[in-house]
Amino acid sequence: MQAVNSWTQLEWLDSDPRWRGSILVHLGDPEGSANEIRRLAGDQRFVQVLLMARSSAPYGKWQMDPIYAAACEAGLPIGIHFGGGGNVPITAVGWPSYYIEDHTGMTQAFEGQVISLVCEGVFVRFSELRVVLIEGGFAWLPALMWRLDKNYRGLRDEVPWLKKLPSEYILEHFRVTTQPMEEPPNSQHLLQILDMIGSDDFLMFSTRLPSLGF
Amino acid sequence: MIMPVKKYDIGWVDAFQSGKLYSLRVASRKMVLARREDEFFALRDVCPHQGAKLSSGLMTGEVVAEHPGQQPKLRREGEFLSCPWHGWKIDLRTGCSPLEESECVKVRRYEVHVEGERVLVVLSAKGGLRQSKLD
Repeated sequence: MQAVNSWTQLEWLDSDPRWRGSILVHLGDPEGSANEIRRLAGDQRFVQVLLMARSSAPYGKWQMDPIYAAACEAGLPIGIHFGGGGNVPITAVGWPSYYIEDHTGMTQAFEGQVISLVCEGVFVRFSELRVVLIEGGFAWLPALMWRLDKNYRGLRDEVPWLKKLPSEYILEHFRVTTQPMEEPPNSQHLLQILDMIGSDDFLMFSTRLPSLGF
Repeated sequence: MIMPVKKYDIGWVDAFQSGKLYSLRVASRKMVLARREDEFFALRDVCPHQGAKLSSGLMTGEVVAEHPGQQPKLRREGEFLSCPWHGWKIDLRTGCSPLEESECVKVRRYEVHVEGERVLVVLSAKGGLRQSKLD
């Protein structure tokens, strides 16, 4: 952890004042990760703590709390980026054959993390925590909010620490990025999706040039 | 203007057990009657979610916990109806979901009186619905 973050400082951040970096952490060592976040908190060039969308356990689990506590202390958001793994199949239905399946199915991981972070009460424990979903698109988000809110009405006894609708936690604590976003044939449909999300400050600009990604 | 009302006698007090739900038809209206100790409540017998009969559900309470991991507690036991299909809860006192006290998730309530040993549901004189004062 320390080696790669120091390398980011020396090789990238020191090379040009315009660069900004992510603090990499190790999910197998949440306490060590928290210490690493605190070590780098004074370096304003680090602008987020980076996690990957796919994981071996959803991010709402209490074992992740030291990382979230340190991020809040440092005033840093958690960035959850496309990719990752965790010794489990990379889609919800098992191992796919092709990259198009992998790439398209990544939203399953983002959805799982959003649901977990909300339902496990991470934002009850850390009311200052902010999470940015990077490269995960957002067209799936309205349906997730509707589904989660509806299920919450019937199953809220399981998560009594939530004091408001899950969608309200999502709109307050999450942001999403523009690259890559879904591209419906009728561009008006994309605007309708943004309208369905219901917040005009939910979307953050992002780019990935140069990249072979989508 | 004071609306004329009509009282419908639905039975002896002792005919209804505390903690149980009863399906009734009063003036052609389907109702669920709930007794909680000495209190009686009557609501429209239709869940606002997908139309299930609330009278087939349960009387329950509100599960609360301040923080994740805290042992949840049940409070206001018997003050809510739980729908048999998807578990939506309705507050017997307001007809509302405890989550959203809004019109979109609300069940019509009716006044219930106990006179002597009889239980009476109060509707308008023309057979229409007289809603509870809380509505």
